[in-house]
Amino acid sequence: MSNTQKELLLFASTHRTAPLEIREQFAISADRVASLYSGLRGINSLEECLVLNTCNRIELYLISLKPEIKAAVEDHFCDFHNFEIDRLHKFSFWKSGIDVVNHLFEVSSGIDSQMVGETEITGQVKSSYQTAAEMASVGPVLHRVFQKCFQSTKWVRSNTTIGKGQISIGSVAVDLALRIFGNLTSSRILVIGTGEVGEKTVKALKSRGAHSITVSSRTYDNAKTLAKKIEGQAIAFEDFPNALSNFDIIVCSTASPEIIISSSMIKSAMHERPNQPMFFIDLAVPRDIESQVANIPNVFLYNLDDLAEIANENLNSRIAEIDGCRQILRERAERLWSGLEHNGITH
Amino acid sequence: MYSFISEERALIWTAALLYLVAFVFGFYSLSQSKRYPRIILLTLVIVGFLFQTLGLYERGLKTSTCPLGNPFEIIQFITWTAILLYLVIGPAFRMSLLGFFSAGLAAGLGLLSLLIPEWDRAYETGPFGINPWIETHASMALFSYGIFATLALTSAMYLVQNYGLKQKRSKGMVSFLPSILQLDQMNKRLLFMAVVVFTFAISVGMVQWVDDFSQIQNTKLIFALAIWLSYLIVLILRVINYLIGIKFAWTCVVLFTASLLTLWPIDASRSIVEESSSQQRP
Repeated sequence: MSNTQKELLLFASTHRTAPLEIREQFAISADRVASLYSGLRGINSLEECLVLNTCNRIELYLISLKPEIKAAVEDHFCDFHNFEIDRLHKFSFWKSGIDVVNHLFEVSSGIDSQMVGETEITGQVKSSYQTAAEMASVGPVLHRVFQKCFQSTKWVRSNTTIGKGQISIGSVAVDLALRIFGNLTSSRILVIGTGEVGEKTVKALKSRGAHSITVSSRTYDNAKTLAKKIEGQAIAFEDFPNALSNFDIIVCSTASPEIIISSSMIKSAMHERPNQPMFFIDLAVPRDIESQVANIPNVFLYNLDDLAEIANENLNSRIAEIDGCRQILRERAERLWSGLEHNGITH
Repeated sequence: MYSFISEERALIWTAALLYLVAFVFGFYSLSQSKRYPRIILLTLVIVGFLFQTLGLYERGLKTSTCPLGNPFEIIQFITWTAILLYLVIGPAFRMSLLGFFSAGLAAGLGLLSLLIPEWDRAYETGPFGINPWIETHASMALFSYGIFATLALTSAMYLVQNYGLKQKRSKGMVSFLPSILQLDQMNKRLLFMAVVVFTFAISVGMVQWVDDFSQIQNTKLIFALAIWLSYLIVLILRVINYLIGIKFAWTCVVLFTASLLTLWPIDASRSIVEESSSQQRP
């Protein structure tokens, strides 16, 4: 075992310490990451380093032989981003020792994310680790810390409800569609209106296998543009009422001040497909679909408020799970830390 | 009455308790909004099924006939079929929660039949049954009841999922249930399968009845035909898309409950006939 004491450090700026305009300045494009690594490796007594770079955080995990490294890292960071060092302290923070391990475990499991419990961050941490490994910037300590981090993340995700339930409108709509149709590969989708929320929702449906998408809009050109963008087809606004029975999922997001889909239209459509359910997603304000539609058997109607309520419920459930997860992760971090201390890592 | 603590009853008790543990385990996981580890529930159900099979086999050896001679045995045979169907259908169609519901049904009905000793009364038996065709008729009829039981379960699952979607519920059990469309397709298949098996059972029974009118009691005949006809009509209405969605699901649940209840008048009529025939015997 080496007699030299190593220190585990974290330098970070996240959505908790820096507003969006500052995070924009700290953002690093993929092609510049190598340059940041190269600068960090030039710092004397820095043994290992790993850069976690996402839209909400820039974090440097460091193994150093001397505590004075902090100033050198800050200098390099400011040079790299052309940022004044006096302002940096306001938007960044340092952690050391077991606090770093705790922080990493919480970040990787989505507890520290803006959208609590989101899973994208786990992939980003893994990808950052891979990049650092490819650049030969991680050594035995960071390697062990990150391997344990992935194990803990997996455990928390499998054994708690931190990632359960969707928290975006599009994902909630996908979940509901899956509860109705099972899988979306053969579902036919009609998008009425070319609003942004509607487009995002259709993209979410598409990401789960839906590929038969038709767009309709009062302005046919807009329908064609969106259809091209999402690899669908367009139909004239006047034609969609007669074609309703051909679709399983109907997403409405028009700016129409009045109802565009009435109860009688859907009853008539259901007459042609009595045994096939229909799912209506009304994202428009004011609403596009008559509320009585919800009373028709085999027809499921969700408006923007319904979807937002489910998303909020899911988010609240995730938030309620944070303390439990934190406790579990802390115990795992402590176990890892006592092992690291044996190997010469100190605060 | 068979001994309350006979060997085969002990095996069936073990099976029912294992089903109960599987159901409680599933219920606890779902109440925590967690998907239960399928392997644990499946293991409990499989072990329970083996105990139940062994128990029914032992009873069959004891009575020298297919053990369908009293309400206890009938209930056990129906739940055995329902579990067998789950073991076949569950993995093939990836019907999540079917194991949980099947375990609940098997535990509920199984324990009920075990806790009422009068249901397990002794009856006249013969070596390998009096007539193998009657045995075939009885076992196939009760096998179809097992399919009707599974159909009632998947229909109940459909109703829960439909209710959850209509009431905008996204938490708890509804999030783990199969989709409306999957359940509807499964219901249609199960109904078709059950009607085919029941029709075969009824046909075999009818041939025997034509051969010897005295073999079958009128009450049993009327109730059995009524149940068969009801399910046949439901199947036809479903195929022509007249009875669909929640109405179809409710019909399947209600019809199965009614089918179970008809077992009592059928059994009572048989008891009367058995008593009168034993009194006439020298």
